[in-house]
Amino acid sequence: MGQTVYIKLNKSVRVDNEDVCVSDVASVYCEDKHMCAKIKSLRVLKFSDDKSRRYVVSVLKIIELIAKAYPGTAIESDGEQDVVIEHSDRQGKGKFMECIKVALVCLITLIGGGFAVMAYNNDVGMSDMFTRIYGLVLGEGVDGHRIMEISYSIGLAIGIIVFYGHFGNWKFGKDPTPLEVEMRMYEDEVDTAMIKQSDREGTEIDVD
Amino acid sequence: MWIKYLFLALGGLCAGGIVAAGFFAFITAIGVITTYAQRTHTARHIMAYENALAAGAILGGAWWSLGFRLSFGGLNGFMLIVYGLCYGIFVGSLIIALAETIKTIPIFFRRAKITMGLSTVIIAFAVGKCVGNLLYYFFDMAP
Repeated sequence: MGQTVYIKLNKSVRVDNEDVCVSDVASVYCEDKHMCAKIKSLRVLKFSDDKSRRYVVSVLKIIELIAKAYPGTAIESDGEQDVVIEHSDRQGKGKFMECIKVALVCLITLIGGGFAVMAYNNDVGMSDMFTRIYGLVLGEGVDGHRIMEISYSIGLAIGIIVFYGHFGNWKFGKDPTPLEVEMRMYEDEVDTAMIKQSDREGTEIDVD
Repeated sequence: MWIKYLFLALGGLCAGGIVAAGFFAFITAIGVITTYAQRTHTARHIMAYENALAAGAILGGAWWSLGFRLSFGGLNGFMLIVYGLCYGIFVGSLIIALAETIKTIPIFFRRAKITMGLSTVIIAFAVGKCVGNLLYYFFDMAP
C-alpha cells in the first residue's frame, strides 16, 4: 500500500448526532480521495442515553480504527493527543432554557456590575474626594454644579467601552474582546483538566 | 472661572476612564463572567454578557454619582429584592473567584492530605459565608 494518512485531532468538539465520526473530531488528509472520505466516515463512538455526556477519546483509538480499516497504512498524527467530545442538547426545549439562562446571567451581570461600581466608589470615598477637589480648585464652599460627577460618569462609560473594544454590535478592530480571550483560555484549562481527570479515573476511551 | 470648570471636567473624565480600565480589568481577570458562561453552557453569548456588564456599570456609576431617584411605584419592594439577590450572587461568586485565583482550597487540600469531601467543604464554605453575613447585619456589626 504505502499510503500515508495524516490526522489532526481537535481539542474539544461538540456533536449533535448520536454517532461521532472521525470527521467530527479530526481533520484527515491522504492522497487517495476515496480512502480519505472512507476514513472520515468511520464511527468513533455512539452516544448512549446515560448521564455522562462528555467523553475523552485518545488519538490512539482513532489510529487503531484507521489501522483496522486499512491495515498497512502509515498514520501520522499532528495535533492534540486527546479530544473532549461533548454531546450537545437537542433543539427545542434546550433553546428555551438557554434563553432563560442568558437573560438571568445578563440580569446578574447588569445589576452586579452596577452595584460593584457603586461599592467601589463608596469604598474609596469618591464623593468626599470630589468635594475636596471642588474646594481646592474653586475655593471652599463654592458649588461645583456636579460638573465632576457628570464628567466622571462619562469618563467611566468611555473607559469601559474602550477597554472592551465594542458596544452592542458596533465594534472597533477585529481583535477578540478581553472577555472572549478569557473565555477561550478558561475553556482550554477546563479541557485539560477534564482530560487529566478521565485519565486518572480510567474513563478515557483508549486502546488498552 | 470657566477655565476651572474645564479643568474639573477634564479631571473627572480622565478619572472615570482610568477607574473603568482598572476596575474592569479586575472583574475580567477574576473570571466571574467566564465561569457563569461555562456553567450555563452559553459561551456563545459572551458578547451579550459583556454588554450587560458594561451597561450596568455605566448606569450604576451615573446613578451613584448623580444621585437621581429611581422609582418603580408599587414594585419598589420587589425590585429591591431583585437588586439584593442579583448583587448577592455576583459578590458571592466574586469572593470565591478571588479566593480561587490564589488557589486556597486546592493548596489547603494538598497540604492537609485530604482526598475526598471537596463538595462538602464547598457547601460548608457557602453556609459559613451566609451565616456570617446574617450575623453581620442583624447583630449590629455593620458600622
